[in-house]
Amino acid sequence: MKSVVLKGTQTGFQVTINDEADFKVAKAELDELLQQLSQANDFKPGQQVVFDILTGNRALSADQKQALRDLVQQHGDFIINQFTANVMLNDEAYHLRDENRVTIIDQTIRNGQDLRIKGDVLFLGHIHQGGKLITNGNLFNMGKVEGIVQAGFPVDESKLLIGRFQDAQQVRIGEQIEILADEATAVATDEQTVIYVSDLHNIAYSNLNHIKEISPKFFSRIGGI
Amino acid sequence: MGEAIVITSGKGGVGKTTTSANVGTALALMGKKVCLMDLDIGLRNLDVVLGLDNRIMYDIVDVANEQVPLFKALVKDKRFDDNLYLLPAAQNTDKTALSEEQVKEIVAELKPKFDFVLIDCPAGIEQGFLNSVAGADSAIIVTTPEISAVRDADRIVGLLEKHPLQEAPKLIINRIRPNMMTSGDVMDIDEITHHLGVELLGIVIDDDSVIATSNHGEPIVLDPNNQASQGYRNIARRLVGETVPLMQIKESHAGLWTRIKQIFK
Repeated sequence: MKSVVLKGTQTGFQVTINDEADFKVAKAELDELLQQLSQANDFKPGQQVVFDILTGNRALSADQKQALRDLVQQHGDFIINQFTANVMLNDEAYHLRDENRVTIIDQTIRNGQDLRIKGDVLFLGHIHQGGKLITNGNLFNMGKVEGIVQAGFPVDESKLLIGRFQDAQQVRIGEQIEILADEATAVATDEQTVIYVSDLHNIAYSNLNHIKEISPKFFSRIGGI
Repeated sequence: MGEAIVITSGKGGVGKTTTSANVGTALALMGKKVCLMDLDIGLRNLDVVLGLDNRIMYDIVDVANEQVPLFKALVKDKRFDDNLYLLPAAQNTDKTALSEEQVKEIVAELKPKFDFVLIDCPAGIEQGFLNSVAGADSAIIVTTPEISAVRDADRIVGLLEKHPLQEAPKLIINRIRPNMMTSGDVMDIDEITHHLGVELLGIVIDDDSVIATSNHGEPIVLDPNNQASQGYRNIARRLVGETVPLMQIKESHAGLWTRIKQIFK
């Protein structure tokens, strides 16, 4: 049995790489296959031929994917659209899990300490002055924040801070930083306060009642209609 | 087997050395065998506060480098029978002259011979701090009611939480000015204790005579009637396991009559 099988579909070509075959062998076979394909068919110049790569129960590493992309491009106007596999690497799986979970944190973050979290955070503890809580997701605060909080680390400005932050030293979302002591008007003490980055790339304050306008994506995620 | 306690603060000038000297002396007065260990290498003061500075022959760096045996470097305080000893810091080098392992060894050698080994930590969180904490079983954090001292104490508590000692740290609030605390100009005792989340070991009221007596090389605890001295004595009693109620902070409201009397004093 061959380790690489080509199949034509309406949208382009599908290449199935047998998951039991050695990757080097499969790569060599794919090379051969593409060679034949480019000679046998006369594709219109400038027309891109799109491939989907199916790898079955094998997850390709980033390096392997790049090697295949390079290989395909050598044979003219060929391009890989996507890789599909039944399995995924642990790293990807963890990333996916972290992106979509809410971590509950109930601890004291003291002066000089910084805590970095992936995904959304429900904070119940106490951040002292000089302490930092940094997450790449949203931050929901039910604890006491007197230090620095950052949502959407490092550059995601679509994330939100929800809760009472009036005692914080700074609030940060993505790259936007606001020093609360510099604010002309006091930050709302309401626990339904929503802090977000506006269209003007400023940090802005609102209320949970307006969450739909602020972030429709977030609104639909929490179950709003 | 004795207990090794590090006295630390993060910030300088809050009274680590004074606390070490006074708590150590108070314990010695209660009949405990105490060794005070000065780890502020290069800027040693504990010997001066105790009035033992001209008796130093060898120091902790000599011991660590195995140039002299440990007992030769110990300076005995003759005022307290056989109860109080000082292991002085070196003055001609800096904090990096010692490693954590060396300090651990010295503390381990001292612990069987003493009831308490009090380690006077230098300010900062660099090598000197790491050395001081290395051999200790527990820590006493000294702070004053100033926000800067509390902030640094918070940092120290955080560091000690990351690398916990055998026992949880305890807190001493030093240099309390009763009038400022009652007027709300500084954080009060409950606020500081609650903020740091550390058990309160004792409070010490700010008193001019603390400085005056240490200038003569006599710790204030030798004066039983002084209120700062009572603070230190209470701390020592709590360290040996006694239950002592917290001292009441009362402002000395000098009445009109007392003030008139003072004029004619």
